[in-house]
Amino acid sequence: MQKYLAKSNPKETIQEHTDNLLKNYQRLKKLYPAVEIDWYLLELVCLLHDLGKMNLLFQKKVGNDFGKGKGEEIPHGYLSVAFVPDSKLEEMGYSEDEIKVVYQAIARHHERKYDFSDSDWKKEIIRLEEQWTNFNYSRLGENAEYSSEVEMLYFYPGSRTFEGNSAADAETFKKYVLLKGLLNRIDFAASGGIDVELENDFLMDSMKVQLAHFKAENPEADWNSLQKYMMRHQNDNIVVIAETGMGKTEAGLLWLGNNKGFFTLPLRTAINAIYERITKNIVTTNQAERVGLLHSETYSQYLLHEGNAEMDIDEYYTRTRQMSLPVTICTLDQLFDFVFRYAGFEHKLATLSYSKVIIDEIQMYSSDLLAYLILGLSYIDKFGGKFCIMTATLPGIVTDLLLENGVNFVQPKEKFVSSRVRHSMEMVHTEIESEFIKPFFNNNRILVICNTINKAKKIYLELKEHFQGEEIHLIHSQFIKKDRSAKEDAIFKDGQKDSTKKCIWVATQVVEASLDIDFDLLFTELSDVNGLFQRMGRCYRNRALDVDTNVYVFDGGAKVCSGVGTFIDKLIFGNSKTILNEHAGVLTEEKKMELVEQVYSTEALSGSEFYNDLIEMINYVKAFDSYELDKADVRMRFRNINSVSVIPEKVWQENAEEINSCFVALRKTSKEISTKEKMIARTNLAEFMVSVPDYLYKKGKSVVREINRYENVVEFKCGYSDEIGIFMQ
Amino acid sequence: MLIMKAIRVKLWQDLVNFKKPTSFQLKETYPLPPYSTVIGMVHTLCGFTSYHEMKISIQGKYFSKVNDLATRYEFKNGGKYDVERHQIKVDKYGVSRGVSTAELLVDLELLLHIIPEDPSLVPIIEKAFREPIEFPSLGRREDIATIQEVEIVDVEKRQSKKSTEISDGYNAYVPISLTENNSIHFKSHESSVGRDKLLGTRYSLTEKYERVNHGTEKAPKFFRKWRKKDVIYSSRIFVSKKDVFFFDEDNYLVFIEEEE
Repeated sequence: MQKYLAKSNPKETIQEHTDNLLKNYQRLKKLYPAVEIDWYLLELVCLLHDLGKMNLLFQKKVGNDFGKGKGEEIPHGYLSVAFVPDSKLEEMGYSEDEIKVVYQAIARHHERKYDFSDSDWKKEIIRLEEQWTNFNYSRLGENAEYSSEVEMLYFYPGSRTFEGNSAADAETFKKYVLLKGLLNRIDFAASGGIDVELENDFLMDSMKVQLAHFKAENPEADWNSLQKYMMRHQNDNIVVIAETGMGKTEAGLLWLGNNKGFFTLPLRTAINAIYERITKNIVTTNQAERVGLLHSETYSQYLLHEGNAEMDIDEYYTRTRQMSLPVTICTLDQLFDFVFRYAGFEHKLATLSYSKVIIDEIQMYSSDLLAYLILGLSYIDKFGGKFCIMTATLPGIVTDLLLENGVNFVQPKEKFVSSRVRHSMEMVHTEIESEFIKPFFNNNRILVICNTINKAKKIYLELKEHFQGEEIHLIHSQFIKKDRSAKEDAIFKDGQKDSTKKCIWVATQVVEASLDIDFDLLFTELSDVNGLFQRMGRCYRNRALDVDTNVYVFDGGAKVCSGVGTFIDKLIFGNSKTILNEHAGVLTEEKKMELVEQVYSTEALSGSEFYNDLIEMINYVKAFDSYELDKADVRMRFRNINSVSVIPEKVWQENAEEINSCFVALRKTSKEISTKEKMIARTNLAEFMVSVPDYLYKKGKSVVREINRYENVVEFKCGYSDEIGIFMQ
Repeated sequence: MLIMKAIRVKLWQDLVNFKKPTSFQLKETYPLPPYSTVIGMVHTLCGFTSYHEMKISIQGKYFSKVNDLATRYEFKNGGKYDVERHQIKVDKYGVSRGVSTAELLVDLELLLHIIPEDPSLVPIIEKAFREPIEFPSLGRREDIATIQEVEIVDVEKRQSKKSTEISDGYNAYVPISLTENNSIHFKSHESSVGRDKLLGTRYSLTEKYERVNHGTEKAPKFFRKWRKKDVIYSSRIFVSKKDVFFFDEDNYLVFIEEEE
């Protein structure tokens, strides 16, 4: 009996690897029996998916002595199809389309380009016969079958299941996505040595414990109306509007219950904060098997938490990446890039088909991400997943577009809003000026928010000049990561409501969300109502209004504010300005919601660039056919990233030694250094980086410094100081 | 099921043009001869003087295409001969001679199935191809056709034990009605994103005409009124084992329509 290998390092036979798949298959079936999949077919594709590896070229590649042959290998998935027991499936009553789906799921379980000739493929299938006689695997049982010729009706290289136009086509497409996607998940897990799914049997208990803690402090404590509502509607798609501070995180978790869930937020910092809160206060044990955090810097975040809990960080990281954890907090782009249906997207949608997705802070998304979100939710709905949108302010256009795309949801009549009054606003009909702000600097902690970095720098320098020796600070996105974190810590300290240190922080919209700060006075340029109310959340965050005015909004007077027309929509700005001028003075939370609804209703937005972009993007994504794009292509399109990560020249000079030591580590081979150490080096290096927008990048000079064959770092010729960030000399 | 007798002819042509009626400056060619061209050849070879209804299945392949110069003769209705011009004198009329460009198929191999409605014509047509009365041409008069094989075969509608692909490298005209009940399958390709139906080029091909008088009885004006056939021209076709389709006795696919 010959041993046919599936993997070379460590050596594993096809049978052993398949056994691992079956284990994970059983696990998935036990945990999620309700997934709309034919479990028999899923088991079958697990059994057969790697049999094609017994071809001699592959065996030679993985270092088996009897392996031989030369030339291009046919990807093994395309060979495994020779073992599909098609006549048996016919007898069992499976339809033509269902059998096709089985073949394709096996053939394409790795997305390899079909770049071989049909005749080479046919020859290779015939050659398998000899290996098949030597191959023995008891678990194949009655499914052990080989045919030297593949029935063309069911499969030929290049055959695909497309979305099609009819309901029947859509049904077949769904079957394909689920079968292939779940095979992928199971296969990845088996290869990665992890469990395909971990059970969520803890969340409701954790929430009870959490409530018990509240009760210990205050016997009257109970879930509030929002949280109770969410608990009652665990099985519905819901869209709720709730004021910040209503305990939305808990509400989301209560809706999730003991199910698999994804919690999406727009910003990495917000994700980090929620992850920290959940792992510290709610899910307090076994976190590495329960809660994960997924964004582009997952590994470095895990490194930060490594000390707190016992975990094997690499395994935890693999579990997170493979979406095996019961609860995952992540950015939208980690999940929703599947809307492009690139080759290999299936495992994401298949996973979401039995998951619940919580979308928080929807008002923060730009038109393109909103488009992905709407399309993504319509797919999730079609495939059996559930979603919940929680937001402080809801642009009416979102619900209209969801309905238009055939998504149903429930929306509570009540708005979860407190009656407390936190803000009183005065409109100032000029551009933002430091002269106006200066007289207010008594014993106050002041926050100034500008639309653009240039404006913020200007105001900062003027104030700094005027109040020499005082606590004046600047924060925006063009600081290297290390300095930015230090500034975030500092503004967080100064922003505590019991802090008595008088200070002025000049900022851009980087402080709009997720920073838990509470200043005495806010001076801000107008961007739009939504952004303004977000900004207001940084002032009198958790206390009642006790002064005449705590927010001053500069509406530009006869001119517009900085950034309007470039990244702020003109029409929305104009409408915001009009409506705010009508409502100056005390603003209740309910009023704020009303204003947002007015400015962002479908009618008010039609004709705006924002609206057109949104519709255009939805149509753009729909215009792609399934599998038309590959994954790398989609990564580029998805986030429409037009900035470059660089290390400013001056930073490089000052930290040459540390940067070089990172380079040295990253140049080592995987034998010399562990993945973890490399990740640490990468994280350290990132501390010196800042992302600069394209237009700025093109103005300056830059040198690309190669780390190794795959990675490089850009050194950017520009001035830099930890006081004002990047400046061009 | 009725078994039909067909004359199966395999032809080879060196350089050939089957002109698309709408092309003038460059005489474009169809990738295979249209039905009317084949029917015309059969009638000529057999010396028929009246129309005989027949079904034709056309498939084949060519190596490449080239553009070549060709002489063009221009006739003007009633145009008199003019010494001053580059014309050929035909009695008192003048015919202009110039150049044009023709698109040519290179090394064309054709497999035709000819099924006359009247079975008694089968031996006559066979004889016409075995012992042609003059050199056979298909396309322009100079597009000589070399007859490689002539065979009388049985054609019947049946199921095949396994799925059958069109013979190696051949393309065929598939009448559109055959695709409507999904009895023909199209093989999608990695680059044919989003579709696996009707993969090919659609043509509306001439088959047969009637002369229709648009003038008066005294001053007749005849126009040809064409019966046309909508087809898909494709090589990526197969018939699955579950379908009943026309095959000849050597398992060649025969692309003909049934009577309504």
